[in-house]
Amino acid sequence: MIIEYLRPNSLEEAVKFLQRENPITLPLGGGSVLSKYQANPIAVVDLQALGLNRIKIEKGLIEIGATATLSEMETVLKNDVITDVIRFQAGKNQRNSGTIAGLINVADGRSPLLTLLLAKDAQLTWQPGNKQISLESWLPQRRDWHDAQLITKVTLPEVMIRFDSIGRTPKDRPIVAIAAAKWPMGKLRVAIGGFGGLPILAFDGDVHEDVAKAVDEAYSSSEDQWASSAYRREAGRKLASRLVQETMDK
Amino acid sequence: MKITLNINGKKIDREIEAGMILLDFLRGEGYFGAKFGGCKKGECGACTVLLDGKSINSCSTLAAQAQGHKINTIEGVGEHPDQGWKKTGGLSLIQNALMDSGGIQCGYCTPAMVLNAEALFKENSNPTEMDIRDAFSGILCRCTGYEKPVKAIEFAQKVREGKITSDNLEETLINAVLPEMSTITESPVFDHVGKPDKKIDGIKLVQGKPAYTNDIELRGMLVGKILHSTVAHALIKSIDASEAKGLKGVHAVLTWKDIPRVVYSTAGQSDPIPGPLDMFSLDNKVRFVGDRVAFVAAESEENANAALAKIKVEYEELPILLDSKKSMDSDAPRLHDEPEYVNFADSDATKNLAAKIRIDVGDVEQGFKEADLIFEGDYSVPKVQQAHIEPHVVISYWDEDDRMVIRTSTQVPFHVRRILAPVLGLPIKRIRVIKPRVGGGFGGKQEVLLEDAAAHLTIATGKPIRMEFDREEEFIASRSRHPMKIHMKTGVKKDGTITANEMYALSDTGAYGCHALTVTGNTGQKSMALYVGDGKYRKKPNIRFYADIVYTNTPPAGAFRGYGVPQGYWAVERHMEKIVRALRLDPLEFRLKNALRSEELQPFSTSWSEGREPRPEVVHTVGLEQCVLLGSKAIDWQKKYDNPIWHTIPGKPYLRKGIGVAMVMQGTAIPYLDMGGASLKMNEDGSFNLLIGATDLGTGSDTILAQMVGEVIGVPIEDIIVYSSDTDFTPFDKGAYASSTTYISGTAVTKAARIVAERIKIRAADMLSTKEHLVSPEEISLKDRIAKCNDGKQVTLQEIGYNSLHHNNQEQIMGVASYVAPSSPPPFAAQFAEVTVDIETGKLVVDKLVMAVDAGKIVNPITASGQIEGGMVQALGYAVCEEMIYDNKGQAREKDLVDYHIFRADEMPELKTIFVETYEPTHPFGAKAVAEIPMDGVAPAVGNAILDACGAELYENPATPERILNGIKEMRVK
Repeated sequence: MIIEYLRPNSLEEAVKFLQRENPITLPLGGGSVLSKYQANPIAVVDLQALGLNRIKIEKGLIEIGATATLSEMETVLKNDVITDVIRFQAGKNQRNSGTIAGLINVADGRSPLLTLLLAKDAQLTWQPGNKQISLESWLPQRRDWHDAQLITKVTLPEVMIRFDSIGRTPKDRPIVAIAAAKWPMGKLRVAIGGFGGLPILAFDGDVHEDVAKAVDEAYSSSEDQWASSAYRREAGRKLASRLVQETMDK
Repeated sequence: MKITLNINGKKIDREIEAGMILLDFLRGEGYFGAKFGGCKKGECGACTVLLDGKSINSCSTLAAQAQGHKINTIEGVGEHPDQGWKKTGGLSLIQNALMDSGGIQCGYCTPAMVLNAEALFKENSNPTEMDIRDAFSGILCRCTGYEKPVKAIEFAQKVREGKITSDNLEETLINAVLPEMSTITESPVFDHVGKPDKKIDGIKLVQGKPAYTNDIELRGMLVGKILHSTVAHALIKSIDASEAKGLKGVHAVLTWKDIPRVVYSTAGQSDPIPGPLDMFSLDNKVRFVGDRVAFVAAESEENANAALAKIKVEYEELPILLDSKKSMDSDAPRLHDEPEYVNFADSDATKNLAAKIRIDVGDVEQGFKEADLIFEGDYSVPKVQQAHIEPHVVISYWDEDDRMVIRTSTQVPFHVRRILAPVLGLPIKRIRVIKPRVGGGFGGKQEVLLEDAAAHLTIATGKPIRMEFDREEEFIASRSRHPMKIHMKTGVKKDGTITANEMYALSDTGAYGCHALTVTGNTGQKSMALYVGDGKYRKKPNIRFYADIVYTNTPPAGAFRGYGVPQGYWAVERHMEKIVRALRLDPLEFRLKNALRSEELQPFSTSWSEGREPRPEVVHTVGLEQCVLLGSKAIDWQKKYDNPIWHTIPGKPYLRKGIGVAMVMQGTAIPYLDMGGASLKMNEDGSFNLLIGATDLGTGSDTILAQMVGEVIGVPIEDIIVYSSDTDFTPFDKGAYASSTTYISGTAVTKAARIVAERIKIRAADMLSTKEHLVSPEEISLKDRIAKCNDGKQVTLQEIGYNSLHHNNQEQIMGVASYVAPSSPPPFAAQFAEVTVDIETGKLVVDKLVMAVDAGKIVNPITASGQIEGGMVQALGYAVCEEMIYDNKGQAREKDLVDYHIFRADEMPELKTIFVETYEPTHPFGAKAVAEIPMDGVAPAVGNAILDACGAELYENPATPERILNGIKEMRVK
C-alpha cells in the first residue's frame, strides 16, 4: 500500500528519500507494477522530474536514460530488431508508460527485451557514485538488491543484434527466446529466455564456436508448466543456429 | 495529499490518498469512459486515457503521477451532434468511422480504441494498417477480431488525406466492411431487413457514456468482496470472522453460518433447471481453489481486503480429485455428499456423476458390421475461459418499496430473478433485476455468479453493495468451457460412405454441475448430427452419442459461446480428416457426401432435447454445399491442396504451408422451451418504444430487432427506442443464449410490431375515410413513416400518433407478443484455415481464416459479419493458445490475460467472411442464428491444416509448438 508519494526535482533529493528506512521507499518509474503494490506500507519516489529520459547515440554507444519509456526507445533508436522486440515486449499503452529501468527491475525470463539487453551486454550506471555494473552481473543479485541507489542510465553497444522466439501466437510471451549480438571483431553473445525468473547468458565467445550446444545446455533445466526442457533444448538449438548463421551471413 | 489534475482542459483540485489509482480518481469524478477490465498488469487497456497525448493505462498509474500533465479522456473527444438548442461539434472523425464500420460490439473497449486512434493521428500523419494495429496493441477486444475497428481508422485516415470526404465516409466504409454475400434462396424484398444499418447503441458507446453496470454511484454504497478458498477440497472446520467484523469500515462479514442453506444451481436456464441442484451461496465445504468461503461488505476496497485477510479459516483438507478419468472410480473422493443435493435425470452424486447421456439413433452396431473399415481415435479439448473484458459485476440495493434491486451485467435477467428468489428468501415479486449495457458475456454471464452474494450483503447491511470480480477471480472463481476427453468410432465404406458414427465424451464439469447436462448434450446433438451418411444411411442414420459428465475439484465449467459444440467438432472434424487421409478421399467431397441435406430430419431431434421431451424436426435449409464452393474459392483450395510446390517456401526449407477445412452446424434456439417477449408502444411523434427482455451483449441484437420492427411498421430504426432489459418493465425473455435472439426474440418482436401495424392501419383508414370512400385497413401500407392508401391518400405516422393519443377516440397503440419456437433450424458453415509450420521447432503461424456461413437471411450484414470475425478469433485462441491448467493441488496456472493469452490486434491472421443466404421458412424474415457457429470450425480446420503442412496428427488442442513438434516426430516414426 502506498502511503506517501514523492516527486523530487534532483537526483540528490531522490537518493536522500531512497535512503530512508522507514517507511520503505522505492523508486517509481512508469508505475505499472508499484501502482498495484498491496503488501506493506511504502513510499514511492517518482523519478519523472529528474530528466533521466534522454537517449543518446554516440561513438558506437547507445545511452538510454533510466526513465526513458519503451516508446521513446522505439522512436529514437529506429532499429528494426530492437523495435520489433520492444513491440513484442508490450502493447502500446504499456510502452508509453513503462521505462527501461522499470523493465530491468521487474521483467522475468520470458521478457524478450530483457533477453535482448542481456545479449547486448547492457551496462547499468548507478548513482550516486557513477558506478557501472553489467546487466549480466546485476541480474542475479536483483532480488536482494537493497542499495539506496538508482539506475540512471543503461548503455548498449551499437552492435549487430538478432532475435527470434517461439510462442503459441506471434505476440504471446515466448517459451523459447534467443537473442544473438555480434561485435565487429567476431565476439558473439547469445542470451536465452522464455522461462524462469531471468534470461540466461548462454554463450559469450567467438562466433565460430558451438553456440547451439551452449544454448542446449542453458535450457537443460528449463522444464515448467509451459514447455518441457527437452523441447526448449531442441527448439533453442535450431533458433540459435539460424541466428548465428544470419549474423555470419551479414 | 493535495493534487491538481488537468482533465480535458479543466483543472480539478482534490485531496487524495497517495496510492490512489488514476482510474479510480477519474471514475470518482464521473469520467466513466475509462473502464475497469479487472487486470492487475494493465494488459487489457480498457482503462486507457491520454497523458500528454500518449495512451496509457489509468489502472496502472497513480493519480499523483498525472499531476502536471494533460489528461484526456473519452468525454473530451466528441459529443452527440444534436443536443436540442445547443450546437455541438458532433462526434470526432474517428468516432464516426467506428460507428459507420460496425467496429463497435459490446463497446467496453471502444473508448480506448477511440483514444488510441486519436493519439495515433496526432503523432503520425500517414499511419499504415500496421501502425493502426500497433496503436490498438495495448487494447484487448474479445468481440470484434479487430477487423472493423482497424478498417474504421484506415478510412478515417483517407478522410484526413482528402482521398474521400467526411460526407461519403459512411458509404465507402460500409462498402469496405461488407462481407461477401451469395443468395441461394431468394427472399422477399425488404426495406430494412438485410440492410447494413448502424448499431443503434453505437453513439453512446463511442462516447464512453456511463452505460454499464458499474457506471453509477449510490449514496452509502459499500464494496462487496468474496473470500475464496485456497485449497481444492476441504471441510471448513472452523471459521472465525470476529476480528474482521471489528475492523474499521467493515459493515458485514457473512459465512455459511449466517445465511440460510438453500440448494440451487447457478445455471441461467429456464425452469426447471435441467441439471442437478448442488450449490449453496456459502457452504461448510469447499470444492475448488477459488470456491466461496465468506462475503465481506466494507466502506472501501482496502477495508474489504483487510477484512478478508482477517477471517480465520481452518480447513480439514480432503483428498483431491483433478482427473476426470478417475471421477467415477469407486475409491474417488466424493464432491457432493450434502443431503440437500437434488438429482436431475441420471445424475448420481455418489459416483461424482453430474449428468449422463445415452443416445442411440438407428442401429449403430449393425452400421459398424456393414462398414468396410472402422476408424477409432481419442481426442481431447481443454478448459478455456470466456474472458469478456467487462468482469462480472453487480450492484444491489433495497429500493424505497423494500424491494431488492439487482443491477447486473447478465445475459439472463429473468432467470436471475427466478433463481435468486428462494436463495434470498424473497418472493419473485420483491426482486427487480436491471440489465444495463453488458461488456461482453459469451456465456459467462448466463450464470448467477455474484448476484446472490451482493444481495445477501445488502440484506445484512441494508446498504447498496457493489461487487466486481478482478481478472484473477474471473479465472479462479468464474465459469469456463467444459474440457472433454472424446473417443470416436466411425464405420466407413471404401467409397467414403459413413455407415455408423459413435462418440463417447467424458466431460469435466468441475466442482458444480451448472450446464453439465445441456452443454455436453449439445456436443453430440450438434456435432454428431452433421454426418448422417449417404445412400440408405442418409434415410436411416446410425449414430450413437454417450457421455458422462463428472465432477472434479476444479472451477466449475458452464456456458461458453458454442455451448459444447466446439468440443464435439474438434473430435469429429479431426476424425473425418483421419478417414479422408487414410482412404485418400477428397476432403470436401467426402464431407459433403455424408452431410445432412435439406428436408432431412435432424437425427437427434427424435432422441434428445436439452433434457426435455424430444420432437422430430425437419431441417429445411442447408446451404453447406454453396458454403464449401465459395469458401474453397476464397482460399484458393484447388490450387493449394495436394500441391507440393505451394506447401514449401523458397529460401526457408524449414517452413511448410498447409491448408485445412472443417464443416460445422449449430442450432438456433431451444424448441418448445425458451420464450421471448416484446412490447411495442407508439408515441405521438411516430416513434416507438420497443421493450424487450432480450439482452444485447454486443452482438447487435438491439439493432436487428429494431430493424425487424422497422420492416413491419415502415420506419427507420432511429425512430425506435429500444430498451433492454428490466424485469419490472420489459416482457419476459429467456435471455441471450443458445443463438436464440434473432430467431425467438425476433419473432416475438415481429409479432408485436404486426399488432401495432394493424392498429395503425385501422386508425389510418379511419383518418383517411370520407363519406364517399370508406377506407379499409387492408388498403393501407406502411412505409417511410407514412400510412398510405391504395388511392394515394396518406397520413404520416406522426399524425396518427397525435390522433391516437390526443385528438380522437384516444387509445395507446401498443402490441405485446411472445414466441416459442417449434424448431431449431441449424446454421451451417465451411471453415477454412491456412497455416505455416516451422517443422524444426513446431512454431505455428495461422495465416488466413475463411468462413462461409449459411445463417439464413442476414438481417444486418455488418453486425452479422462482426459476429463471425470476432467468433473466429475467439475460436482461434481455442485452436492455438487458450487453455487453463492446474497443478496437482488444483492451483490455476492462468490468473491474468498475460498468461491466458487472447489475440491482439497486431498479430491477427487475414480473416474473410462469406454469407450464403438461405431463407428459413420458420422465421418471419428467413433468419437463422449466427452468433455461435464461428466457434466451431476453426480449431479442427487449423488442426487439419497443420496435418496438411507437416504430417503432425494433433489429438489435443490447443496446437502448441511442442505438441506440433511431437506430432511431427511421431509421424516420422510411423
